[in-house]
Amino acid sequence: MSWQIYFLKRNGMLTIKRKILARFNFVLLSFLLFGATAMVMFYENPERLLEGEWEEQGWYFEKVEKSPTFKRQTIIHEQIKDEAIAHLPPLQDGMWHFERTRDKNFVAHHQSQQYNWFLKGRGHILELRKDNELVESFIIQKLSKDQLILHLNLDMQTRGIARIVLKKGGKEKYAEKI
Amino acid sequence: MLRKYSNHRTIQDNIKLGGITAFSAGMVNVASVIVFFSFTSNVTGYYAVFAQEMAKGNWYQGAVVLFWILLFLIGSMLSNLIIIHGKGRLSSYLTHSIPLILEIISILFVGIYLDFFYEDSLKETEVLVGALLFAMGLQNGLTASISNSVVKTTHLTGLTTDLAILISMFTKESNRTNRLLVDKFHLLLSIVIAYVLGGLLSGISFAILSNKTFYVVCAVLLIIGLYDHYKLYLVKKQFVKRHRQSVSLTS
Repeated sequence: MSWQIYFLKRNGMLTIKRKILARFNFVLLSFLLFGATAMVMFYENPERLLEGEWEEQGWYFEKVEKSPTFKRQTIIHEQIKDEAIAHLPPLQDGMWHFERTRDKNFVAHHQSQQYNWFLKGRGHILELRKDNELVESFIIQKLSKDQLILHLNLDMQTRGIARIVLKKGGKEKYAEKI
Repeated sequence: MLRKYSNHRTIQDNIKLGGITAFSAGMVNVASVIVFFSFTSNVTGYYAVFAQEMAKGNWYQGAVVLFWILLFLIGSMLSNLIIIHGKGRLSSYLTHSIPLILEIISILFVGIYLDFFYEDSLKETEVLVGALLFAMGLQNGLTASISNSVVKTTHLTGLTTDLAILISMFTKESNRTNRLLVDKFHLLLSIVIAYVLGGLLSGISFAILSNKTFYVVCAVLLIIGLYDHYKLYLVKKQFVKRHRQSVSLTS
């Protein structure tokens, strides 16, 4: 019978032949490797997802270190927010505009293309650089077609992590501001 | 370091091999964290990250992490395949050198690519991290295979556990005089120290040499490959010298 090619009857139980199991390892390994490679090649790349305009929805405290004044999930005061991005002019008007040309990724700000953006790791680190020098790095907590959540280490009035929530779109607002 | 196999290896052989390979693994790991924000000498954390990304519905990131884990696995598997199938066909030195050569090629590829072609894109990062994980898989597979799983140098989780067990065992007088346990302790300690030193050197080297640090790793790995060659050369030289002396004495 055909099933006897693959199975053995041992102590009244059906078991898979070891030779078949050994081959199955290679089949499974190849399947996983090709599957993962195909997904990496053809699935929507985080770089492509990030491209475009993002509008700030809010800044919140994600983690706060021993502070009675600041609590988790509370909205971050405008002043702290402004301080946190004082060195990042392209992000100060509440619109984050990630552009990509053939050879350059830049954060658009008026006519300026001085600030470049890069994704690192498995696409979970967003780096902003100016003249190839690191200016700031964010941890990408969520990146979907319509929402971007970033974490930023704060080390100012209070030590902690800020959660920045952004929404895709806002092209009109951006145009208005410009 | 590379010629001897399994139980024929002495503790000195294992300490030398473990020390130098752990040193190179520490270097690769720190350099890759600096350049790519990703660890490359261990995959333990990646299993957790894979599960986390899948749970969050980040299929792309999950696939990238799975791809990295598989490359480490394939590297280790390839190492052992070369060793077990090369046995009896090629000399043990040559067989054990092939995974090391492949590892050097992988790391050299990363160094050259970073130096001349790297444009900081995510795709490139993913492939280069994959190449380094493949190289570390090759190294771990090689050291574990030829030392009967005594030497494992790219990750320190199991090693730290073993070290902790030994430290607690040494609270008993009888264990402190047990040669086997003391030897194992020396081996584990040298691997830990070498790994940390490698990481430190890599951090310093990166500040000075930048991406060329990967060439330094290749040079360190070359020492392992050439050490046995040098030893064989010395033995051969001594043999020829003695042979000549005996010939001149008889004549």
